[in-house]
Amino acid sequence: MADILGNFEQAVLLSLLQPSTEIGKQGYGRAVLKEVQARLGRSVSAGAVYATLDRLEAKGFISSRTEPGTPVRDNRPRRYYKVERAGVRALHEAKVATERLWSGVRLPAKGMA
Amino acid sequence: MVRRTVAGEGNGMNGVNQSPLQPLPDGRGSESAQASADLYGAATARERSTDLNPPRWAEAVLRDSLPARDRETVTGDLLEEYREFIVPQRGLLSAHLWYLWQTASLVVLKRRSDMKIGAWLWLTGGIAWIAVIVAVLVLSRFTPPHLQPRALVLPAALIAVALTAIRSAADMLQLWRIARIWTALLVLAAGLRVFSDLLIIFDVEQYFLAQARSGFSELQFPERFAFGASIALILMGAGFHGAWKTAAFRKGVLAALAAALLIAFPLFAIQWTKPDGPAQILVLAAVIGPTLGTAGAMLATGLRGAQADLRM
Repeated sequence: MADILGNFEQAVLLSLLQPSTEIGKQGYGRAVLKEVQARLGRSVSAGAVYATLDRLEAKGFISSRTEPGTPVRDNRPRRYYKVERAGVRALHEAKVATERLWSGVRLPAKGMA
Repeated sequence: MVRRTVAGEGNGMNGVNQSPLQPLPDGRGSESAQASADLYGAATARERSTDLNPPRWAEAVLRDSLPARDRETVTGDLLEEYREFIVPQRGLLSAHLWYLWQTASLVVLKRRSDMKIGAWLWLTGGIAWIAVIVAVLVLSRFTPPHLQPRALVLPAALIAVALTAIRSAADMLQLWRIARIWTALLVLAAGLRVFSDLLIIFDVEQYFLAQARSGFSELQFPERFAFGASIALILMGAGFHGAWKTAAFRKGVLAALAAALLIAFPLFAIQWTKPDGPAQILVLAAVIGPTLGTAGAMLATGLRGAQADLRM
């Protein structure tokens, strides 16, 4: 069985697969950073996101291509990311594993534990 | 604090553009005025935004620490976010701090992920080695080492392994060139120590009495401690330089050993008439040199490996 994705890896993959913000739909590095922040509801460092993107790409879960940039970024290129079939499969496995982990578990009411 | 409003390229989270064009009070022309205002605001704000730059040195550090593949794209992403969102939302000073934070996170986290396990292990090993040396020194209250037979095993093993790196006279010559620099620094440190002894009267009696009391620490005598610390740093430096220059960990250990022995030989000659002095000096040099040199050599091997990994 392949590695189960970590929470942050899942957040990054989901951000690429089904972005919820306008900028997130663009799918380049900065867009992923902002989408992950929106999805997790907290500030996230660029280092964490880019390191995760690198790792996912090395595992073959995502692929990337560069395109020319815009003047606001001094025409530096953008790297656009795309989820590959293996990435979707890994996300599915992570979801199944989480559901299996939680199956039959009934937590006590809040504050009763 | 400077606050600027910048029309972005679609993050939808920017502030309102400050435009000089306003609709008439009765509302006529509001649409066209608004459209003009948007265009005007967007154009001027874009011009203004490209004047905004993060600290130049921070960007240089970031570029230097990123692999060539990511250098333009990642710095471009940060620049875009900085200009379009962070400066308008937080002001210039806070934006600078944000950029520094992101740079630090990229240098630490991304660099770590770009490095191969080998480089990472060497670096971790070097830091752990230094931590062990510091821990031993703290536990012994920074007193000069008393050599026991079991303390010789590790340095002897290190020397034996390191000596296998010598294959030719050229290797010897290379080591000599490195070691002589660090020996010169050791001589300088010793000279400064002698000079300070002449200026500051060191009460030997007081020192030995303090040693006999409980709670003694070498730190209570900074002039002695500073000399010991400088010797340690120089020997680590020799190990680092040797391993970096030759791209071989074992040669780094040998460079530190050579520097320690080169400074020990004159002392050996001076103390020749004393019964235990000469041998002890040589053994001490043979123990301290490779032990400290190993720390520097490990760090150099790790950093060299990391640099190679990041150059990909």
